[in-house]
Amino acid sequence: MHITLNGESRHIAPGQTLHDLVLTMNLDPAVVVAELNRDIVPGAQFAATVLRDGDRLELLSFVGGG
Amino acid sequence: MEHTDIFELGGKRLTSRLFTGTGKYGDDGLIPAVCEASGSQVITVALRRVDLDGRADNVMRHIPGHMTLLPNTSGARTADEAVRIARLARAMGCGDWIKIEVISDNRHLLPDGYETARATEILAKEGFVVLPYMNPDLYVARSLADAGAAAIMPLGAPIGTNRGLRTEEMIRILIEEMDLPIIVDAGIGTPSQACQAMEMGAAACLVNTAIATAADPVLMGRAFGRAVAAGREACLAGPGAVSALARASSPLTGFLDETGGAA
Repeated sequence: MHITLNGESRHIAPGQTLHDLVLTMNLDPAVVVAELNRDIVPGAQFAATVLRDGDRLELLSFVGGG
Repeated sequence: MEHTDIFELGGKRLTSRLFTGTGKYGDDGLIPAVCEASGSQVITVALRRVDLDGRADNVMRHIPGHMTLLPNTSGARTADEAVRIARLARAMGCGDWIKIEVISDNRHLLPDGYETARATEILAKEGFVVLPYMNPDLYVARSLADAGAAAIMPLGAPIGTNRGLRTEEMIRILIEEMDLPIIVDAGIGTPSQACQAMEMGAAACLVNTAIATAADPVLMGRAFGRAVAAGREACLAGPGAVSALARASSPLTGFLDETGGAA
C-alpha cells in the first residue's frame, strides 16, 4: 500500500504503525511530531496508530531557527 | 546586597534578558557553549519536515536542558498556517511558548501584522504563551495586546541584516505607549545595539544571526550577554540629563593662580 509522506509517495507494508515507520526511517520518535490526515497524533499514540492506504502523513522535527 | 532584576514572562522568572537563536550556525555543536557564555535562558527553533534520508542532525541534541524553548512559526504565510505549526510545535512536549512569525514577503521577510494578530488571538485562547514578531506599528501592537500576546517583538531591522536599530524611533514609541514587555527581535548586529535597545527600555533582545555568524560565536555570545545586562542596568540606574551646553565637572573657581600663588 502507499501513503503520502512529507508530500512524497511512499510504499509501506500493510499493518505498519506510525511508531514502526519512524523507527524504519532511523528517527527518534521522541523528537518527531506527526500530523496524519491533518490531525496531530500525540507521541504516546504512535504505537497504536496503524497506517492505512492513502494516508497523508507529515513528520516534522525542530531545526535551527531564529 | 546584589540587586537581581527578574523578567517575568509566561510564568517563568528569567534572570537573563538575552534570547538567542539556533539558526545559521556553521557548527551546531557551539550552541551549548554559546548558551553558557551568553547566560541566555530562552532559545528559538523552527519546525520543518524531517530529512527523509535521515542525515540531518537534530538541533535539540545541542540545546541545554534548562533552556526555555521558543519554537517559531517560520514558513507560515497566513494565520491558519501559523496556528497549524504552533500546535505541532507544542505536540513535541517541550512547553507552550510560541513565537508567531507570519511572513509572505521572502525578499524583506517583513511580518504580516494582520495575520499575526489573528494567529495570536487563536493561540492565546488555546493557552499558548504567545510572543508575536512584528513591525513596530503601534496599532498592530495594541491589536496583539488585545489578542492576548505575552510580549511584543518588534524588529530593529529586517531578519539577518545585522543593520541594527533602524526602527529606533518606532520602538521608542512602543516602549512608551505599551504596557506589555517589548522584546527587540531581528536586525540587532552588535552588542552595542542590544545595549542601546535595553537602555531605551526594552524588556529583552532576541539575537540570532549576529551571534551565530560571528567569527567566534561563543565570544560574541558572551559579549551580547554582558551588553544586554549593562543596558538593562543603565536603564534602571536612571541616566543623567542630556545637555546642549557644557556643564563642568568641578567648580569653575578656586583654581591655582598661574603666577604660583593660590587665588
